[in-house]
Amino acid sequence: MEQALSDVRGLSLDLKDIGHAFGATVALDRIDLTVAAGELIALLGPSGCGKTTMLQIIAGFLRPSRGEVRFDGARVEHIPANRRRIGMVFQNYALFPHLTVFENVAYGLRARKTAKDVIAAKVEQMLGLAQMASFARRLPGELSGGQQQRVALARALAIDPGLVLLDEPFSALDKNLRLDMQIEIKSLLKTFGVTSIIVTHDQEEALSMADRIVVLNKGRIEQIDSPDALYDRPASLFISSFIGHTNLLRGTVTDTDRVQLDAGPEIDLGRSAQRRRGTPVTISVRPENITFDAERPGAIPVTIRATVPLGAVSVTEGVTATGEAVKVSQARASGLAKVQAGDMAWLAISDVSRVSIFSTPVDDVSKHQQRSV
Amino acid sequence: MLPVIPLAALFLAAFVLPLIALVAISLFRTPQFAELSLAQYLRFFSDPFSIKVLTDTLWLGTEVALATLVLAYPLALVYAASGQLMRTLITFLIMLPLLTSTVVRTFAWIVLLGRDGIINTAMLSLGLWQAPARLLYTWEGMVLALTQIQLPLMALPVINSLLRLDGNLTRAAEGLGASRARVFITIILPLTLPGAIAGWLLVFAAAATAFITQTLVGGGRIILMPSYIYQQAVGVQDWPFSAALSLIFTLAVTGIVFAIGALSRRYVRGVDAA
Amino acid sequence: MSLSRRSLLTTGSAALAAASLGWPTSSRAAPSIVATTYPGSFDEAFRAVVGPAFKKSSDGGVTFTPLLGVDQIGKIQASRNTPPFDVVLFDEGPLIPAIASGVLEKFPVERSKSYADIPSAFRHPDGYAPVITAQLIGIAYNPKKITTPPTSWEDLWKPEYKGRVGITGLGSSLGTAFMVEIAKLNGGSETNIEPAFEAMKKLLPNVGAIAASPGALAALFQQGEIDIAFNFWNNVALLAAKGVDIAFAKPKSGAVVIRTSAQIVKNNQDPKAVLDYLDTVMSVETQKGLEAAPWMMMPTNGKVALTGANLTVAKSLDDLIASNVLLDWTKFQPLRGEWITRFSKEVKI
Repeated sequence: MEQALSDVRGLSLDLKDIGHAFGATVALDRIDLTVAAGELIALLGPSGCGKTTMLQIIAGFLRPSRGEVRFDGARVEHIPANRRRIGMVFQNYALFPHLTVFENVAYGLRARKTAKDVIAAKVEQMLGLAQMASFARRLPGELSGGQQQRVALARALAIDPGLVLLDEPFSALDKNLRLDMQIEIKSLLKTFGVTSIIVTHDQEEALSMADRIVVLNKGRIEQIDSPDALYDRPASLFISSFIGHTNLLRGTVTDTDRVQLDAGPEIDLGRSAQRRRGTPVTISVRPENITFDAERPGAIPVTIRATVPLGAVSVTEGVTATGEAVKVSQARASGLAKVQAGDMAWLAISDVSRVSIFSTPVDDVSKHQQRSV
Repeated sequence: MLPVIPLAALFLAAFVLPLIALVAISLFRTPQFAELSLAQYLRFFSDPFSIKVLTDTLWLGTEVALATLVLAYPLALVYAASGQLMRTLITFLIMLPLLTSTVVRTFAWIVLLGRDGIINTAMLSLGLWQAPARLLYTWEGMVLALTQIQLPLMALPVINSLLRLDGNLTRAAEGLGASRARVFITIILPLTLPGAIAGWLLVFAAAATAFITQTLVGGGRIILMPSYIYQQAVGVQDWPFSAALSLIFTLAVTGIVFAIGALSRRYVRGVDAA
Repeated sequence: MSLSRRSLLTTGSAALAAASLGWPTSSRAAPSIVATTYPGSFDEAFRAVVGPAFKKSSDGGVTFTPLLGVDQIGKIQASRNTPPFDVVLFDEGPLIPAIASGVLEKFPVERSKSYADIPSAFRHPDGYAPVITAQLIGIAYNPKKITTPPTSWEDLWKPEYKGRVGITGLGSSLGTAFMVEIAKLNGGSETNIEPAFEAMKKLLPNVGAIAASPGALAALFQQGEIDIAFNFWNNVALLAAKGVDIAFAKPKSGAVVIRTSAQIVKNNQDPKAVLDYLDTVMSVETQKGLEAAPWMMMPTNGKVALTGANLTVAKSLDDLIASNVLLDWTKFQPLRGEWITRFSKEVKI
């Protein structure tokens, strides 16, 4: 049995040039995505980015206005949801409130007219894996959020799906519980070898769960990459501010490899800025890539606003003369610079190679900046 | 607490006191209010005719409630699947009977069902019927009219509970492989049951006690509890018996209403009762 | 029984008293008396003819309340001291329990101006107010469907009228008078109703509809549900005037006359106005107005001659009384309750 479970049994998914519009509103545009069998993908994006529409199209609740959906190479747009062999886990779990845990997990099997004893065995196995065996007779209303989550997953997996879709599966959980459940569910999905797609607006969730992350913005795919690549090499200003925290600083290209920051110093990128001289740019520097420095040319002068201890790290925020906020993240273990609100301080970029440059209109920059504060 | 007092007073004056009077009157043996006894109740329960009138009346309520239920669900499903404009239109059509008086609605049915009425005229001129059918003054005609008149009482709570149903539940069921019919029977129906039961109780009570429609569409041939009570009180002037009839009828209707309410609370698990 | 008779009675009557006290009585101060009418054409006629006539002859006015005869007694009994009406309308039957319950006042014969004109058949033997109109019961039929006018009550039983006959129950004077007349014609009497029930069973194959009330019976003609029924002359004449295919036939045994009187309620607000009102109703002028088209109500004032369509059923008031049937309602009114219940149980289609 253990052997069978670790087999790759998920199906592969291809989306080709998917487009969808609700009336005049374009929800999805030119979506191309290939998911390998057994892969765990996160669809990440802010609300209204089109990720739910995409999920509904994959699940078969919505027929795309344009494009192809293929499961294991075969087109499925015409196949209704109830014949797609997809397991779904909803944001609110959508457990049937009038059915017991057992009946919930058995629902898909009964719909498939499975023999009674087979159902009993399968449900028992599923509940065992989800560590919910002792709750079989309970009603969903009598379970905690985490327990409901496990039942929802057991129900989705009981039908031996080729694909599991999880729609914001952790958003209803306590923050403390979230990481535990993320690890637990990731391991369950991996054990089953099922292809999985998690829809989320929470970048931490996406980073911790997914093999690859698809970042959606305004109905389009901005970037598809591994969590690390996404973090270190964001393809757009949007991603750099959406994934993790970052500091955005305005500046102007002064030479092939140099940028004059509005906040003061000119920095040496150590590589080509790939823009003509005089181009206004925004550079993105992660808080952990900034350190406190002494007063010297090249350091950024700021006025300290506040320091927030966050357990393992401590985050200090300063404001440049131009009013741009800059966060500095320091590992507690390596000792903290002693600064107080109102102090003058100088900041330096530790690793210039991890700085991203974007040419973006300034008013757009300030908007992103406000959101990240 | 204080604002409740006027309401309580009104309830006491308009409901409790007359009810007490009714109980008192029903305990007299003769229409001249002589001698206290349970004779009126014995008379009712030993008279097959009276019992038949009661069971017919309760059955009428049940039939009309069933008919409205069968109509309300398709209507509610269409409503839930419709856009704003269509919803407004459906709401208007559902509410329409409530905006006219019972008498007007009932007369409309007389015009429809009569021997020279719209239905008969249409069927005859289309050649579908050879002779005019008797529709007015029949049990079926009465059920039909009451069904239309009481439909809002069923449709509105059913629509309301359907709209409150989490769309993810039906999507989850469908995703698990259930057909539309299975989703309806195993998910939609049980989870909208509170609405259906609320509608059932309203329609049952309203149809069983619909004196005007029963009399005008059912005619003098069909004797049901409301007209029986009226006849005994006003025609025969036998107040004790009609008081007993009223109490028995009231108890039967409220008894059924409470029993169904209690049963549903027991069997509808995990569903928001509201 | 745990409740004592006394406490029960106290509670019951207290509840009744509370209910009757609950109604505002301030409106009674208006210088207008309240008189009941029967719903329908009766009410229309009184508003059109009696209302204006009374207004002319007195200081106050009259407010009409349409109500079925049987409903009136209960309402007066519920508040004897401040009755909701001053003058009430009764057919012969319901008048009997009304008198028995003591809610009516006798008629001050000596002070009345119109009493002398009323023939004895329309005066009350015990001194209550006289009859103000006579209602004739005969056979109503659809002349388009029934080309040979019926001539006797037996015609209703003719097989060719299968499913075309309309009837109504004993709750109304109409149904009661018909049943008693049928009993009499079949060897029964005003107290022996048995033959009428026998005959009714034989009539059932012909019965197309049982109307809940006389008014509903008339509506059945308009709906085309029935072609023949017993009915009031006055109703038939009104419908015919409105263009409904309906005609009236007087059975050869005579039409049954229902004597309807307006009675004085005890504790009324203005005895003089009430007497004025009754005198107005019985006056030659008012009775002429009620007799004329479109109302065609049979007068009870001997000085009023019959005109128009009324002449087709009687030559004069004397002829009306002489050639038709008067029933002694005192004999069977007490039995009616039983008959009503029996009719509901036995007469079913």
